[in-house]
Amino acid sequence: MTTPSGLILAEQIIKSHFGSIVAKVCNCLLHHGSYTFRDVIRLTELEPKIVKKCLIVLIQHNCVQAYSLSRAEGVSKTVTIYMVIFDNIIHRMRFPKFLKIVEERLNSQCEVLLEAIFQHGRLTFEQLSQHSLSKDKAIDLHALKESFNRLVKGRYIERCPKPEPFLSSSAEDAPPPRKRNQKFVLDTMTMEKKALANATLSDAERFCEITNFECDNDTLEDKFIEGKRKYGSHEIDKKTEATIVEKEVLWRANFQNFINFLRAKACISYKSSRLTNDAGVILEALIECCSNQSTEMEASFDEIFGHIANHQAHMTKDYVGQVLDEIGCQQSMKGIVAFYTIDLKSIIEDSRKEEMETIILQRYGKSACKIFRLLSTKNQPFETDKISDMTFVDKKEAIALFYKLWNDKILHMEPVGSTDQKKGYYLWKISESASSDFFLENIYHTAANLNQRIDYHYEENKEFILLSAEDKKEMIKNQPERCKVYQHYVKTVKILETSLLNLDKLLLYFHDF
Amino acid sequence: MPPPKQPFMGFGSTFNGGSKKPTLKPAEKLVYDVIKGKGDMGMWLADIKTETKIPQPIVTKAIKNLTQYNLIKDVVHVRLKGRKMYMASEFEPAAEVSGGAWYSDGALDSEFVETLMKTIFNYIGRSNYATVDMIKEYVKNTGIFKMDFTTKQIIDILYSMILEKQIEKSRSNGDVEFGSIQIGKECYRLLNKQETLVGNGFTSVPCGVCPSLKDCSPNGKISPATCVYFDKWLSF
Repeated sequence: MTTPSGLILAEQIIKSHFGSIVAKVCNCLLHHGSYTFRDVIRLTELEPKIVKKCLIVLIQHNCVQAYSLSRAEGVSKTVTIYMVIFDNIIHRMRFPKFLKIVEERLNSQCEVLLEAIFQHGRLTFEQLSQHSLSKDKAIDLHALKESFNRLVKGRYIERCPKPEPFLSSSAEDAPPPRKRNQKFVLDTMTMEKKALANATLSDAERFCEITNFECDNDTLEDKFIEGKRKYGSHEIDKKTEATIVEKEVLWRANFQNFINFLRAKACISYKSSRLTNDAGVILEALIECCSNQSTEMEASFDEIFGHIANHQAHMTKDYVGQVLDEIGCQQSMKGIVAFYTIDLKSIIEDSRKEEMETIILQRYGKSACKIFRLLSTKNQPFETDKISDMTFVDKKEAIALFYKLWNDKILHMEPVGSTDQKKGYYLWKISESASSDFFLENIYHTAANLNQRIDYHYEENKEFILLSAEDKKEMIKNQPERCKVYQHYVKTVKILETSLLNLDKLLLYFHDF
Repeated sequence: MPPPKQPFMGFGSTFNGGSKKPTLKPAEKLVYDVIKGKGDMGMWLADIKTETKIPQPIVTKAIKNLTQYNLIKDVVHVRLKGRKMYMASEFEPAAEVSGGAWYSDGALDSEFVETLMKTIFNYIGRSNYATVDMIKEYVKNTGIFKMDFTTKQIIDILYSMILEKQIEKSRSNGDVEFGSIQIGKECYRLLNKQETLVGNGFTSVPCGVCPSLKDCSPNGKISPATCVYFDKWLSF
């Protein structure tokens, strides 16, 4: 789900990474939905050649996925539709965060490999090796392969999905993509979901490590040519054939794994700050013991305790059990083994509620925050005076606050009985979906504003930034005040980028987790 | 020494400071009866005029006289502060009118509520755990407050403190820290970590608290590039 400001932010990201022409094509897909090549040309009024190149760039960087549909029932001709993957565009501003994770959890070589993948979107292992060789000729290719496989094993990278999955059954009933009515939008939504699902490989394929890859490129090439000459293309020995196939496999970053990791980290940090540091350590142990990719975490007590004992020897079994209860884990017995389960979504929900309270506190004040907390805790509608009495907020002040919160769609109001002030009354409750939309839209809006402000300062200082080092020195010599202006620019951009990074934490809470 | 001022009795009145019932004119009697009929809810001036069907100047005069006789009083309605409300003197305004025990002159007595919360907070802090009865008894014995609080009023104020994340509910398990509180009895304690909603990534930038965020757009009249709040924030 996205909001109008989310689309603006996505367009800004594409513009700053790939330029304004690619952004124009992307913007067309973002605002109008999935389209055919011809429609994109018509809407953007760009030359077909340019549109094609733009789409290739967007596909290469995993921002667009193509899928084909049959034109009409019984007709064998198909049409290719291009759809934008909004989340993958937003993930682009998280690359530094993702690289840091890999550096901390794996090693710096893995980080370099991932950086190359981020830079080029999709690469084969061979291209990656060449990229690494171009940077460091003395690189050990076997060590590189090891690092690559560690990235695959950790699910930080995956084999690319199918380039153009075919949708047949329900797609045949769908109206042509040009007619954009309400029903079509809904149909397209389901088709897009289907297309993504169809394009995704099975887990076994996605995370299959490379085993039989020849690291020496020269040897590999010789073997391939020799095989062709000797046996013909159909009689290449199996090992060589597998190697050729392996050479063509494209790899890309698996963003979902990074999001899962950040979610787990956010939960650990939340429990550490709300309970104790030990609670964070114990929750981390529980999460580490689970290998599943969902939010439901389950591990046996022995596994958890064993993990903790390896790191924190001072905790007793009783203490660990007590803290697991405090964290909110559910205990169950399977035979004679005690298991502890927790859904990370519940922790994220609490955390998100606190973030909402913080925003309400800062935007509307302490009394509004108290009212919001009452309504979110009780999770039922309350009458105006009742809320005022329970929160000790002056009745007149409460009415003014209700209006503000209702106007921003955070509260839902329901008149009961007559609307006459004397006879009727109003019930108030938190409008969950609308309030989430409100917060998300405002966060996207703020992120887009920060981005635009960074661009504004860049444009202001562009002339100086683009100068060569020597010219810069010369200019500073002649105009010392220019140096101060540049230093101020550097500090300003640093503040704005740090703010954007902090704001991204909220985006993760409200959109990705 | 001049004699003390006597209230104006009105023409034809024999009222002498409340010992004798004044003789009311027909219009005054009608207005008084109508107001008294509303009991502790009081009556709005405009409603009095409509109900009695008496011309405004006479109603105004009658109200003035009835107030001087101490037969009626003006009250402030908690939600309709702009309206002139009158009530027979023998009634105390209903909670709907006055706002309840925590209200004074139609407004929440915030200072009073704050003082009470602070007193309770300090007491719970000192005793680690306290039940409603213990808190009620303590508040009574401090002598700071003139009114006697009911148990419900203490529970209400405690709930408000929970909403402010000052305290939390707990249940005694008989440990030493619970003192003499019976096992299983509900009690209150200070929250382990006091609320620290200091801001987040959204509220720490100007847009997070900007009243014009709705009207702000990249090429609009209000835009991040020309925003005065941004200028102020980044002027160091």
